[in-house]
Amino acid sequence: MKRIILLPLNMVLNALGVNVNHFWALLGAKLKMDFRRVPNSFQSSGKKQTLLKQLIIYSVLGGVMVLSLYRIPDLILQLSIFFSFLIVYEGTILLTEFTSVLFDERENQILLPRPVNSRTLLLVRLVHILVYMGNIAFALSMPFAIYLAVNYGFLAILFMISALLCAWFTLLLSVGFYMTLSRFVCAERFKDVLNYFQIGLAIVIMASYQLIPNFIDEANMEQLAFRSEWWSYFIPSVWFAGFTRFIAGIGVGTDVYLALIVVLVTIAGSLVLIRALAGGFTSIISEAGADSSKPARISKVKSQKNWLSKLVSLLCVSNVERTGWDLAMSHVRSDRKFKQQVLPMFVYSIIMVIVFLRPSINDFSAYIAELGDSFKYVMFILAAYFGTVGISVLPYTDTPEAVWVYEVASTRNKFHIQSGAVKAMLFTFYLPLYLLYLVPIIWIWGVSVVPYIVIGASLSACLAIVSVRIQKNALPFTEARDMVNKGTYTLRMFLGMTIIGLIIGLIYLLTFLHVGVSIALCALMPVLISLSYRTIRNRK
Amino acid sequence: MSQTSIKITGLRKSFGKGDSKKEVLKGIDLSIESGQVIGYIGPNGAGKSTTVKILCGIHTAFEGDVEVMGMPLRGNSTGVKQKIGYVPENGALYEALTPREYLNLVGTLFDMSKELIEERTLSLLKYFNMEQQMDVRMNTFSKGMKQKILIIAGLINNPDILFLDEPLSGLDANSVILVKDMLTRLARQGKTIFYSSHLMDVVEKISDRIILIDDGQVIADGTFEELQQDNNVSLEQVFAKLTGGEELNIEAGMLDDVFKN
Repeated sequence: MKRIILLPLNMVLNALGVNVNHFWALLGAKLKMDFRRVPNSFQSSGKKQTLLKQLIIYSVLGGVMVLSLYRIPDLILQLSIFFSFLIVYEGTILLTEFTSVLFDERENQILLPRPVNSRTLLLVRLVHILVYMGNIAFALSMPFAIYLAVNYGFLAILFMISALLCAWFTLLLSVGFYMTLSRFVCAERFKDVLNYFQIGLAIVIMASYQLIPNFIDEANMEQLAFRSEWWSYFIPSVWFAGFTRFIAGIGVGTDVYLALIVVLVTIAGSLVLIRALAGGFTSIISEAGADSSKPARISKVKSQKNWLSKLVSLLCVSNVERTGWDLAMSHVRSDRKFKQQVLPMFVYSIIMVIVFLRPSINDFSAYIAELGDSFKYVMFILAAYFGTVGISVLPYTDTPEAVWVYEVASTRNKFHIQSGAVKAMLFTFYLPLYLLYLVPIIWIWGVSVVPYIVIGASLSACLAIVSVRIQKNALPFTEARDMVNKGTYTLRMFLGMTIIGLIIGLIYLLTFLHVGVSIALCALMPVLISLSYRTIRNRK
Repeated sequence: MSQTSIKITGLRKSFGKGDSKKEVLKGIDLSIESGQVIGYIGPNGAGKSTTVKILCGIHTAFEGDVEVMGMPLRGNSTGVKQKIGYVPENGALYEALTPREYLNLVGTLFDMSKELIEERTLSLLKYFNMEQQMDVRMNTFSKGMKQKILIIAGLINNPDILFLDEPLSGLDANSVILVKDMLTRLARQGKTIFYSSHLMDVVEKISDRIILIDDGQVIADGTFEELQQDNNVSLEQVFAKLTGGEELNIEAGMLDDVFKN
């Protein structure tokens, strides 16, 4: 029975040039390992619970999406918007969290000396990632599927199939870009340019989301309709919307072509990626691991600038906290995977600002004047929350076995290490983002809004600091970069942003009061931040 | 007539770029006959592991030509890999699996039948007195136990050439005797053993030929007797003389100053 079910899949694998036996053996081993917990006294909850919790939260996020879609009467528009959201979300997770998995070099010594071809190696990695991205797509889509089941019946099941296909498409698209890049850049240089490429892809993904308003035809929610333009058929989310309607048997006009595009793009995309572009994959992971075999080299130690060193000492309440700061910073400088996870978030932040403010080039001075009268400066507070991502990434490392350092350390205040590391993240990533944003804020809205920005920035920082408590005992660099943990940082960012919405509401209320109240509150902010740090530091 | 199992011509390998570029291998030329036991020795950072990793297909970017069992490594690495076994120093295990699961995976990657994998797994685990741990997850194993599994995984496909990179790391005295015995038997069967280590006593005892590299270059190549400058020195002394280790005793005296206060 199992063989009959697997037969068509195996035929596809053969057509892709993949070794079927190697593929199933490797995939089976990887999935088995994902759910076997490695003992580590500093790890938090079990892997199955972690995954389940994540999926529930994704479903809630999908539910929020349904709340904004259910009033739209046009099915293709609903589907197009949902698939756009899905592609952007999955693309974001892939870029920030799964890129390091794709090019992971930790298994090099196990896999590369064995006779496994590049196509098999690449497809195993892709399908392994797809299992997790598919889970996320499933959880995000479930509430909308329930809505569709109530209104359209059987369409809901077909929609779920489309959603999974959409996850595969997003994976193909992003990895296709990576592998194409590997054709032009030698394997040794690939790891160096990967970060820049990630940033470029992040811009493309977020910017493409901005196309959505262009195919909406009406400002009134109840009368929104899909505006069919020739260029709208170049947008992947529209393809998947048409595909879903077509396979549900309720397709109209161009849906057959859209369905054909989906079929062709996914089949042709898989063939091109696995058959033609996989060749360089082994070279990339081989060279990604080359660093570790590099003989120890005495690097030029840049002495920390004197004033900066003094400032850091001032910001840290103990030597242990200072050690936590230094530990985090040296890790940030040397860990490529850390950068791969954190840097794209800054791009998302900047793009989010541009998206919200929607600059008009036609009459720029009038646009700036109009903007200056608006409340839109709070959007910077929302977007800057991406700058706290370093805190979420802090517990994860490729070498969790180094956790013994904490176990044998004679210090009683281990959590000072964590508070020091969190301070380093906020100082290095979050503060500069605000300093950057203050330039346009002051230029457009003037200094009078600075107190509100300070309050927003401080409360967001408090939120990020307190959220560390959710990570329970996860001290810096103590947890393995497990597949099960993937998706966590992005999810935390989006969930955090919903709370930032409340902070923005509070600031809105403050604008009705005398500005002196806000200035007085600004003076209170250091106390609040200090209290937040105590929640981390004073744990037993 | 013996066959050439490994032929290396002008092998070069660098890491990094620009100012931080470090040339680890600076043009290695070697020809190794089938059935030879090669002791590949050198100080830390000499390029031993890098050479082994290139020969096993772990590092794919290098300059020069490498032929293994008459097949060029470039462009035919899966064919070459069918005929080799690799025992790394450490770390190359899926530790969340049991030895049975892991060795079954490795055997499958060599296209072996289930029956053959099971048979070899049992025999080799028995040889290393580990049959009791066959179904225990490896993340609970000691370093030495993990090392035994690495050795078994390197042997499971009955390779023509066995590459060993510091294989005795973490093994107890009895296990070291077992491994030495195993290597001698494998050599008798005509397998090529490429043994990279800095443990001179083992290399001295098991090797037909010793290749000494330093700073990415072969500085000595021959039998132990050929490398001896006079009849009464050990390989350790030959090594120290050729790699400048004789000066280390003087530098070691500096340590006394470090702990004075």
